[in-house]
Amino acid sequence: MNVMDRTFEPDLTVDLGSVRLSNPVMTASGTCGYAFELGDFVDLNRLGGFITKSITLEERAGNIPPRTVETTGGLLNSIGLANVGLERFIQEKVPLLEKMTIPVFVNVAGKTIEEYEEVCRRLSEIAVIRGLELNVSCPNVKEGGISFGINASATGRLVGAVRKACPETLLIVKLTPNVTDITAPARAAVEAGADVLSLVNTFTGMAIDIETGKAVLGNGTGGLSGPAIKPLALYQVQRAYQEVASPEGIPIIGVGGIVCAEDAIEFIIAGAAAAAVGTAGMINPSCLVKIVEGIRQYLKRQEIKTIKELVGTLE
Amino acid sequence: MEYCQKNLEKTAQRGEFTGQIADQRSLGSDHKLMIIGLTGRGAEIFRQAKAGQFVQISCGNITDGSGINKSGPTLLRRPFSMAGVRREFYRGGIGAKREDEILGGVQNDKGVDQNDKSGAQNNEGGDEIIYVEIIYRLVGPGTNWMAGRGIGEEINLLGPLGNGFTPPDDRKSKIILAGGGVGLPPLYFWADQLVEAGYENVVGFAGAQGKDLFAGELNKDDYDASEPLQSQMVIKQWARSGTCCIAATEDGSFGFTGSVVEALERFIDAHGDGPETYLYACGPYGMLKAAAEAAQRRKMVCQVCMEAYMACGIGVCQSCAVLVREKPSPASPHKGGQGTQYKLVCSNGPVFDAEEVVWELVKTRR
Ligand SMILES: Cc1cc2nc3c(=O)[nH]c(=O)nc-3n(C[C@H](O)[C@H](O)[C@H](O)COP(=O)(O)OP(=O)(O)OC[C@H]3O[C@@H](n4cnc5c(N)ncnc54)[C@H](O)[C@@H]3O)c2cc1C
Ligand SMILES: Cc1cc2nc3c(=O)[nH]c(=O)nc-3n(C[C@H](O)[C@H](O)[C@H](O)COP(=O)(O)O)c2cc1C
Ligand code: FES
Repeated sequence: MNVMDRTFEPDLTVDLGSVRLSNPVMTASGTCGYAFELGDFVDLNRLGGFITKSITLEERAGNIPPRTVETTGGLLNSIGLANVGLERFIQEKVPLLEKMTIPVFVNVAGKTIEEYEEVCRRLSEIAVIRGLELNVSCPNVKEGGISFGINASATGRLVGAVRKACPETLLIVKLTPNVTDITAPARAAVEAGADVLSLVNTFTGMAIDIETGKAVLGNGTGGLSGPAIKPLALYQVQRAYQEVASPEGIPIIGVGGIVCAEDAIEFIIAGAAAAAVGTAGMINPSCLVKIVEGIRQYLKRQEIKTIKELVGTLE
Repeated sequence: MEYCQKNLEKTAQRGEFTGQIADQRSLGSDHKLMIIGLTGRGAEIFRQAKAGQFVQISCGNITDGSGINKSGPTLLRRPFSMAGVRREFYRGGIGAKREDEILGGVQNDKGVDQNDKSGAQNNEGGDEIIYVEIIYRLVGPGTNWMAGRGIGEEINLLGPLGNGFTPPDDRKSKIILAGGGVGLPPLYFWADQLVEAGYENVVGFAGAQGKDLFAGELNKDDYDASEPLQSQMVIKQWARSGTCCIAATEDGSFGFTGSVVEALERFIDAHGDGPETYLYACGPYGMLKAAAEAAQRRKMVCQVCMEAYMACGIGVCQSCAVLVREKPSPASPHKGGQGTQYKLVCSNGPVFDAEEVVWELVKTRR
């Protein structure tokens, strides 16, 4: 194909199981609100998909402030899954989500398997919700799922139970990077019925105020996100892809430190089918559509017809 | 490349804009004043900005889509109150003549909203330039990055964000504006707006650690040092609206010796004000708490403009939570303990009713 051919339009569509996205760029959970909060700053309908912040059965106030602090190239947060809870989410936020023209996914967190089951069952009945992302990996609340996420067999039990409760629903399982071997929980999730893997959530970390000798965050520790974690996240995606997702034919949503199209493309080459943007999107919402455009330009430049060809092409 | 977002609501009251620095200069030893010129949709939106609202300034564009290698020093944007929003541009405070050459220096094609490059032509009055004034203290990487920018350079910001102050119903009400440290700037803007709206009875209180540390320009020449509790035209940013004020320094190097709230209480004792007086306070936590307590003792209506450590500034990350008393409402929002709940400083505030805030439990980093 001739690069100068102006009619050449690369195909950016991506399939997450049964759900087709018009392009691979998604919002990451917890950094874009429940629906149109970023809508004054970016046209969200131009993205591939939208993932809401984590919803729990009961509403949660969140952790003691301060809840975030900037570190070199990164953001530490200990928000603590502050959210309005399932009932208010359904009453107040779902009607807003219904106005979204792109596929919507709701992220779910919980303390117990029963809680996950109940929340997922209710949400799976709502037509606008095209899939559920199980947060088995929040580092900021004791019961926020990380105890599931760091233990492969617990991950498997949780995913299996939700799979049974919602047999028809697209299930994305969001993994924690705070493990020695990402392939163990990844494999457990897939064996238990996950349709898509999403990785990574934040890396546990902390910052200390040397004047007071205390931790900066009210919660003591937090989760690190932003550009600082990109190489770490990329490595985990590449491992999970090679060892689990590629052999099993499971798509990955790559997350962690993406700030520009080049970053997203690295994740795709490492094996991600789609790329979710968290921290960068809440600081600079317009970067989300710039990433879509940047990927399109890259494919044109490289004369790649479809983004799917690029997935996992790491040599 | 065109990132035009045609589907963005044209009715949106906020957005991402790139403006140009029209002026930047030092105030005293630690502060700088930056004036950012906005055109197109940015001008259209910012001319409706309210005092108390703020902007989130990108200090180095780490996430502007061009990648980390070309970025500057900070990841997060930094929040700053607007010290003024004006259509004309004056250099050198009150009485200075209009600087037409600076006006011409802000090019329309540079200063337009980058979300909508066609906006400037579509707007009637699209040539209008709105000047947003920021007064900031140099404390860390973000503010030092800002200080290094020259006239004509671009500044990317989100805004106007949050909710502004609410005025009293009666234009004859007594109004006190009390600002400490970097809490002063929004109160200059508030005085502009109150006076413009016909409020006649506005007096300011300005606090700083020492005379070179005011977040504003002192009119030292005309100052009568023998009457520190007499309101005078002492800060230029207030003088532009004709607002007199009382200055207080912790070290006694200028004006009243002591805190701004002490000065305010002495003043009220002397003038017999109290009930029916509206107090608008902005400053560090300790000062706001003292102001809230003074207001309660004297039955004044008090609104405070609060700071919190912010990541997004636009209501998505839940960083900036502050504990407030729960108003008895059936749809109970986030519970934060006995009869309290968290509200977000960036989107429910930064202006709150003083009696709403649970002062004992506010957590700050400073
Ligand atoms: C709504 C709002 C309005 C503000 N208005 C002004 C203003 O008009 N003029 C002005 O000079 N400053 C203002 N500030 C404070 C200003 O945002 C911080 O001084 C700035 O973010 C510091 O950035 P830095 O990178 O230079 O320093 P950093 O290294 O980030 O911080 C230096 C010090 O400032 C503290 N700090 C950082 N960010 C904040 C924050 N968001 N709130 C409180 N403390 C913080 C840090 O804890 C640290 O002690 C405002 C803050 C808020 C939330
Ligand atoms: C402020 C904040 C809140 C977050 N909240 C959630 C959440 O509720 N659920 C979740 O699964 N992940 C949450 N995350 C993790 C992000 O979705 C993402 O996995 C992580 O930040 C790494 O991506 P990034 O570097 O692009 O931000 C949050 C991250 C941040 C910064
Ligand atoms: S700073 Fe993100 S919600 Fe207020």
